[in-house]
Amino acid sequence: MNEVSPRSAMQDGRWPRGWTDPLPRLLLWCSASASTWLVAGTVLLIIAGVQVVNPAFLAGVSFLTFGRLVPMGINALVYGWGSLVALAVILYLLSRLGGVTIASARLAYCAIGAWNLALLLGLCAIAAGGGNGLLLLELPPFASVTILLAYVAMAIWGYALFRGRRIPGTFASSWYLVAGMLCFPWLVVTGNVLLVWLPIPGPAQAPVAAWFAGGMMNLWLAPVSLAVIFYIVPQVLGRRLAAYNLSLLGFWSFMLFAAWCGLGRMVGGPVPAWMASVGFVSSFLMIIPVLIAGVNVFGVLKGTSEWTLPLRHAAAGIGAFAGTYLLAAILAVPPVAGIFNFTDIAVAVGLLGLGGFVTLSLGGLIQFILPQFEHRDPLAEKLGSWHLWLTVIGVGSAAVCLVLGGILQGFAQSDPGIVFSHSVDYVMPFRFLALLGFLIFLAGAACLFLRVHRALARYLITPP
Amino acid sequence: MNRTPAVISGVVLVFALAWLGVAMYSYMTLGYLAPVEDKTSGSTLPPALSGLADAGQRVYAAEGCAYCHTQQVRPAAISGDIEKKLGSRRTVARDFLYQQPAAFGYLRIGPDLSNYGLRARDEAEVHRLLYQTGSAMPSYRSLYILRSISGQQSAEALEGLRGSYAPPAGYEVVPTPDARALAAYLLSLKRDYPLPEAPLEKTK
Repeated sequence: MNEVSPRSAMQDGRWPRGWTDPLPRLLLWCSASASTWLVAGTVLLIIAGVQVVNPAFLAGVSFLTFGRLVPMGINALVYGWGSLVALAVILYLLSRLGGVTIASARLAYCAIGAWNLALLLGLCAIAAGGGNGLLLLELPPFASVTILLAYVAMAIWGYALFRGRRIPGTFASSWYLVAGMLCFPWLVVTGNVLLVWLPIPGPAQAPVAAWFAGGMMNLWLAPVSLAVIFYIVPQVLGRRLAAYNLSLLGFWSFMLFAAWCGLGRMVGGPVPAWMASVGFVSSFLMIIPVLIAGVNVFGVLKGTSEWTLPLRHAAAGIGAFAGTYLLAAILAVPPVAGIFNFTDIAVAVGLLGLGGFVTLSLGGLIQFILPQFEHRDPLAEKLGSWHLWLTVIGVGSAAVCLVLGGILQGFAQSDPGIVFSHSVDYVMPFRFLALLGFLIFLAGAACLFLRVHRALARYLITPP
Repeated sequence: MNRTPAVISGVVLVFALAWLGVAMYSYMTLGYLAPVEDKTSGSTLPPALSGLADAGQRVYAAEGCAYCHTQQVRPAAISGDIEKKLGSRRTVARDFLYQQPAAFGYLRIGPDLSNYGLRARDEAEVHRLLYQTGSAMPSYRSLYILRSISGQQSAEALEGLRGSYAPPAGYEVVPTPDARALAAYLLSLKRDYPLPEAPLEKTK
């Protein structure tokens, strides 16, 4: 089952050229479908965004109303883009960090196919009015069951790779990968069983739903994205991360607080007071792992002159990671949450996390492995670099606009003297500008899509 | 940390703690909340939903209303919700007793709807709001039928539609069963009674 790859990446510090290792191809195929979902999800969310600015846009088309486009777009980004790449990344990195590979990826290819089909049909079901208004739980049962089974088919290999590793010891990266791998099925089963398949009574749903939606980011996509950053930085620079013990502290503090900080969205909400307090405290204490990760990564990056594309991705990714969790920490402080919890600032947190942190980190690993399929293609390198900069500019400008608009919106909505429709008028210019940021982000996503599909086409036409 | 079990068992432990604390605790305590007796009317609180309103909350969920509208009035200690007259007391878990799924909401792109039933004048106003594009809300025209008037105009036909939304002469706009259910649900949102854990609060 666990063949030793002919030339392990950790031994000679280079990517194995041997085509006996199926994982780079698996990652290429996964990236191809995932980048398609990235573009599709962003388009859906942009259409929804246009409707916020101009509600008459596509009015009367039932399957393209805001309330259906938003869950479709977010599910496409989380289950299509983030999770699909994350799965392939788990297998790929565990293989590289363990010096082993898998014998055959047939099962994994079937799983990816089933996952894509289930997601496509699931999104159609949401478009047809099958949503339930619970964030990230909108997919109908047939789709979430298929996604879970496909996950199991991939995760079996992940576990085998981790157990069968030939390189002694574990790396910071592999802790995060194992953590993500364990949390995903547990979260998805809990969320779906308790809220969709056999729904618990209404009063108990709010905390579980908030915890689940936060967990999909904090306990699944975020750990895998951090694993990518902690892999890319030492790999590109040929240097170790700073102190081992610091990484250890960073990992356990991250897991401990991330497990609870989804509740930070429920401050002041219909949950027991202790849950809101735990949510606030854990969201706030996320500052600790953020600081540790920052010290760890920038300690290694300091003074380097080898700014390759994956390294820039990792640096931007860790910046977005810090931005996401710092903003979320501020937003969970009770008096701040009382004013701003339901404003566009919450959208900015999601955008920084999913569009910035996850997209930049996972995109970094995709761009790290693509050159071996491209044979020094100058256009591909340009596309890769455009993807990075357009994503950074798009997410950054949209997040700034959303935060500024959200501040105005929060004050206007708490002022008894201002009627609601006026508070909408105040934020409209900011929402319009944020929409432009989303369009820039879409252009960046399209660059990644083109780069991955060019590499795939080249590989299919002329296999090495 | 070099051994496999340390990472795996540690992560399982950390996750299990949060899982027990959030999922299982919510289920075992909040899941067993019961209605409380109302001494003045002799019935129970929160009031049960009518059959039509119960169907309406499914339309509310499927149309994704919760992405723009919250149903959470937060305590006066941390927010201006009560001063802003979104409600006369904070929203608590028991308020969602008859809601399936609980539509607590994520954002306030639109106004809070916890007490929409107290603000709305009548069902006709709800239908007009849903049918016509408002300041930020898109039109939910697909929940209505535009049909030619055969004989007499239907008693359910929407009145007072403006501009391009007004039906041409000889036509009328009538709500589908989904629209009627949604309106009934929205009109049922009245949380003007105290609960033991959430007494009515006074505005400043």
